[in-house]
Amino acid sequence: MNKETKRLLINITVLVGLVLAVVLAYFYFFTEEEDKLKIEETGIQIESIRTIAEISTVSYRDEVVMDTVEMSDTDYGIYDPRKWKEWYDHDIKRRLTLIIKGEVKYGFDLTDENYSLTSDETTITLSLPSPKIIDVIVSPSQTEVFEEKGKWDEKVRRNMEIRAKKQIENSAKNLRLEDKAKNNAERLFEKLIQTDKILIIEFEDNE
Amino acid sequence: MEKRIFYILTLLVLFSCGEEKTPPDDVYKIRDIGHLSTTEYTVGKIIKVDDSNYDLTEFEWEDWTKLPDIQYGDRRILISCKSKVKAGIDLSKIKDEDIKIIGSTIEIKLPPAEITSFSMDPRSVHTQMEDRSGYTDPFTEKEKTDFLKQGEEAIRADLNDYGILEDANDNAEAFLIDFYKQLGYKKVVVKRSMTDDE
Repeated sequence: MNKETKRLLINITVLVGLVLAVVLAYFYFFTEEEDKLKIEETGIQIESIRTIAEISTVSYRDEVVMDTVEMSDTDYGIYDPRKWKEWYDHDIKRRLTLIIKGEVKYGFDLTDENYSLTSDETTITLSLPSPKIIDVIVSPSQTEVFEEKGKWDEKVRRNMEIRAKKQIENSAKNLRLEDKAKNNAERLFEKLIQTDKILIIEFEDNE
Repeated sequence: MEKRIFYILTLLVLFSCGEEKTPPDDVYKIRDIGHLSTTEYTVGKIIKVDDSNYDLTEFEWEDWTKLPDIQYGDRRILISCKSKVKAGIDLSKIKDEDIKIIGSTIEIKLPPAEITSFSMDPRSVHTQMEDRSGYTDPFTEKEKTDFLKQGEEAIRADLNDYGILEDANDNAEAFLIDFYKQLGYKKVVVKRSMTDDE
């Protein structure tokens, strides 16, 4: 083994060793799970219980990103060390980015017997109301704070979440899922009403 | 030649540290469902967090292992929230063989009741009290989101104890009896499946 090959092998070993040391250090210092604060055990208050009869036949899931940024003023504050970080952050003073997942359910509200079922010797007719949005679901378990820089007021965050919910609802409306909801309802009731008679399912006109 | 081998090996070592990213599969999805929600609970909860790890005034040298937990000040927060929870049965789980018709009697076997929707309107979440002392940082939005997630889990667990699934089963049974009676059946037999909790 000549001198150069020996040096090369030493270089490779040192490099691999360094990379391993960096990887191990990263896992040791940065991937340790933070001690999460636990909420105290408190009871729930049931404010109301309602008997309903809602049939949801289509579900639409979406994810929206809400971003609020406040840029720093034009004063670069070269002599103020507290502002040096803002240069590094490309003049971003505060930022709050939320990723919100939501679900919209389309279906039929049959509460208070809001449907009719008639049958004669040859035909069964089921009259259902027009399909509509039954639920727009957002919940904390589906919300992620992706970026948080600076202190934010609760109102700002609440407005972002309300806008996200509205955005998810509007996206569902744009897809015009009413026809799909009707088709799925037809399939569902055909399965529930197993009959030799002719089954007619009609929907209330929402025009 | 040796230099070339050195560069190739270096590049291989560096690129092997890359992380493969796969897109989430539950985004922007339209799905056919068949949920019959039969009961709706409106539930309120106060989420309470007290972040006072260790009282420095009560420190004794025997407890030296707790030194790293000492923080110079306390943080406390109370968040009120309201959730709307619906429960019912998944009609799409009913198979053809679950429905039996004998003359004017119909027998239907229902799948177990489940929570069909859980939503917490952002308008109903309010920080009622936030207090900190000493050199502690205020609660971050990330922390508050985590408290709300824990609150959601607690509400789900508590509701099972309050019998939401039993209510959902009762109401589903009542709905289907009424539905089939309108179809002309004289007798409707509804059989329930047991949930994991039962």
